Amino acid sequence: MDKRQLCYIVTLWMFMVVLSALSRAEEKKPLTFWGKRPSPAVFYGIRKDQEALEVKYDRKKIRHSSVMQSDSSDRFLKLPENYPFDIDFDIAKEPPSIDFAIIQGLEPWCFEYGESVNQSPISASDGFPIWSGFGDVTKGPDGCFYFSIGNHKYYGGNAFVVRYNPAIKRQEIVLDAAEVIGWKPGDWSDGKIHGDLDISPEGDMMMLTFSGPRPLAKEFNNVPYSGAHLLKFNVFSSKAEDLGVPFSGDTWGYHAWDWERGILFAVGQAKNTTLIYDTNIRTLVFAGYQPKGITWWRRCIMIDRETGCIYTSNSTPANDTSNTIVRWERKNNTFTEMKSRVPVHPVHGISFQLRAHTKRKTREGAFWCLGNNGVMFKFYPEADRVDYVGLNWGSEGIYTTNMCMSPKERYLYYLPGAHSEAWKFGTPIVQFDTRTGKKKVIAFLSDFYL
Amino acid sequence: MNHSASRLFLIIFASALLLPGVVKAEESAPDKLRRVIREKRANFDTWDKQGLRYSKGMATDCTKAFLKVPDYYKENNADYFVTAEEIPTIDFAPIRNLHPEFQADGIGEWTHWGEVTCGPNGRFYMGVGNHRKNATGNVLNIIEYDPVKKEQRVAVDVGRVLGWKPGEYTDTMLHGNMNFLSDGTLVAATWLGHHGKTNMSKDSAESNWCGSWVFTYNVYTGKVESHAIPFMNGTWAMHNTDTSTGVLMAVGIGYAEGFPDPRWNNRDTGYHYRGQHYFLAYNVLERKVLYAGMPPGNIDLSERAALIDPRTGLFYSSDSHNGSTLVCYDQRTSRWRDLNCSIPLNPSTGKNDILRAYTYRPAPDGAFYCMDMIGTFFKFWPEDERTELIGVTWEKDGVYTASITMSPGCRYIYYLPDAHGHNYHLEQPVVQYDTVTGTKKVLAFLSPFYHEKYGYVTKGSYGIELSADGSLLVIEMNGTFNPEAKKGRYSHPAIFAVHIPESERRE
Repeated sequence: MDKRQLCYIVTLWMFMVVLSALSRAEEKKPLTFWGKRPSPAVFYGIRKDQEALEVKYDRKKIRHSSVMQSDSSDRFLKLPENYPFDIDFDIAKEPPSIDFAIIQGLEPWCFEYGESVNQSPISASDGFPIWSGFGDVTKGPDGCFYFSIGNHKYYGGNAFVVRYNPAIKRQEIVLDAAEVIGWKPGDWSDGKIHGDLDISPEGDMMMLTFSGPRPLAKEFNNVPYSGAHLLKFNVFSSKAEDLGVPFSGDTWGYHAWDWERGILFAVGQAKNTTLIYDTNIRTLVFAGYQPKGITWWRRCIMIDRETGCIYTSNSTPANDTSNTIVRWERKNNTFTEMKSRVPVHPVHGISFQLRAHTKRKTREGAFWCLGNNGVMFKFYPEADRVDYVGLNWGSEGIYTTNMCMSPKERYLYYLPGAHSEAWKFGTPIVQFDTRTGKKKVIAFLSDFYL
Repeated sequence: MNHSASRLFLIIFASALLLPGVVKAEESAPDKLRRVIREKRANFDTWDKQGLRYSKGMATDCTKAFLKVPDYYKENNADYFVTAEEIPTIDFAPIRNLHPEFQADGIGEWTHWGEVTCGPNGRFYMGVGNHRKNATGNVLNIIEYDPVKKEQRVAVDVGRVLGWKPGEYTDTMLHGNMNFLSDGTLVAATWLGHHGKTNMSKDSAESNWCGSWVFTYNVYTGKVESHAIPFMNGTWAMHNTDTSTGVLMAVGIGYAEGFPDPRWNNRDTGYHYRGQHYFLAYNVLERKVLYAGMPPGNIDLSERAALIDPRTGLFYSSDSHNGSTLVCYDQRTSRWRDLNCSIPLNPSTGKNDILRAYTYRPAPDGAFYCMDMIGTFFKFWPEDERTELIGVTWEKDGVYTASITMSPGCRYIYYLPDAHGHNYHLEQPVVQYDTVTGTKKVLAFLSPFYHEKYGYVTKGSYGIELSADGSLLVIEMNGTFNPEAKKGRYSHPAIFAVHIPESERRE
């Protein structure tokens, strides 16, 4: 073989290597709604010098203050520099007034960095303590707002329910899960309450603790943890009660409560089981896996409070009926796969799970819904029909976990970018006008609060 | 009155007297029902040669006829069994107090499809019901048989204690293993019945029926406690209870509306099908549901098995969607897992089927003796996750057997092949399998003698149990009275209490 031939071969080989790398890079390109998952410490910005950083950047000295800082600024209405998407929305003309404070009473204030790495005895991948809230905010019959904050730990896990009273602008921790349940230091306990804190008109709140994503199903036999706890709390009396572990072997990543019918519905994180509990007679109605072919999507429990039927999307993997809407009804305790399905994403070409939805139907009988990937649509349960509306934000939609509907049903409100990337586009508070189909930013939060 | 008018009056008057005899008044519906019942009763009064249905006590026999090998076996050179040398004594009586004894509309028949269990008081307990599927008017009882007094009685009128009302759709059977907690409490779950033409219609499923019941009965105090319907829409074809923890574990079905079309959710079970069975774990002591749903993945539990290892409290069954792999459920962790073993293949047919019958305690070597639905006979070591083929239950290919029981010293396994009773030619043998020698021995052929002397046609057994000392085998037999030996519908289940000669059961 002469030199020329050798050069040709080497060149050809290098060309193939480059092509191969490019094609692999293309395959690995993540969908923009989810992003590439770095290590938890990096993803959540946890640093070794966390406390020092906070001291440095807490310019107004508000970290340890419970006083609500009130602001109304034109800065809320300024489009961020280098805004990454097309401007397909309006910005409000008049800025809102926003009250802001850091949640207080969370001890320890800063965790040891080492804890961020070595929480789980099985895997060091995602056992990282951070004070965080991953559940919904609920308005109670007392006019206060309730939500949960947890430390996201396994050993020494704990979660609180926080009350915010807008009338007097006061926050307080009203439930300490460890205290109610009796967890001791060194126990494997739950670091979150992850579901909806639904509250009855009498002030009762039912909730399940959560230790996700660990332990995994395969780990359950090897860790000192049997399952998550069911708690009951009354917002008027502040009385809290531990109702024990209703179902061993899983932990509840999502739940919702139909207080009128006494049905608490939860989806398991470890094994994707479903737990349906009658809170009136304190017994399980259903607790196990669903029929083959149905997997209750573990981030959606949509209660139709008119009928008592409960809906989600079907997340059975590798199933051509995935993302169909599934209904559970108490009569005959049955799961039914409906004809409706979450609409196909116009850019990605696939359908994703149902994620956010309004708490009640409109007068015309529809829930407003968002898919995991920002697809917005209306779901008519009685008609078993969906109507595609559009994308919730940006050119490809953004993961959004919650939305509210105005009392007269004209406006929807949501914050796109639930999984901590909202700062990239200014953390907008979005108002969607159901009459015109237009989006309007009520406020961009990032720049002002930074 | 003139002569013509008088004549006319006489004609009319005579017609009025005679006409009812010429033109019968149409029979009213109640009258028709009464007539049908009278006719049935009259037939059975004739066919019940010794009038056992309304008498008391047991009819006792000890006859060479029990050991006479039927012609069928001789003609087919059956060499897979021997017969006992000593004749057993057998006490026999039909189950009494069946009210109503006959169903005028032809729906239902008195039968029992579950186990017989021996209580801590030495008496035997079994269910009986009139099995009116897809109809109202079900009657369901627990019968107690006292082998010392040779008396039977209705211990529990299930419908009455559970508050079932006339005109309601209610469960038709007690189909599982009604075993006992240490204080003498029997644990039972009811069963609606199976899918198919005889299942409840969608209309009746939308009426009062909303699930099957769990209840307990203490044989010492007589107290019955209802645990209501622990899993709405669930109905329990098979159940067993961990007597240490008080956890009832049951396998069943439910009405699965709309998925993918209205059906009972076990439709199309078995290989190549898609259905699944519900599983219920319910702690009767704490009145707490531990599990009420499907198992994971596509696991399809055997609808006719609920094997609980008393040493560990673990539940075992077979998974018909995965080659009858054995699966395990742990009541403490709600964890399911596949075992590294499956039901062995039938040596004759090369197939296996769902788990059906098994001993309720392990032998000294740690194994349970088991049978599948098609008569494959094998041993199962749960702790080793291992199975080992023994052979077949009966005949060349195996015969469906629903219940087996093990002697106190674990040497002998007893069973009655042909649970459905359709294979009349087998003449209902009572079989003893010797685990040491591998020999099958017939203690008695029941059919020919009991038909000849009593007019009773045996139609298979789903429940047998040994006394604590292994001397008495109590069998609940489905059957009827009929002039022909191989005919008749189920109508009168019976108790056979076989006193096994000591010489035939030396451990």
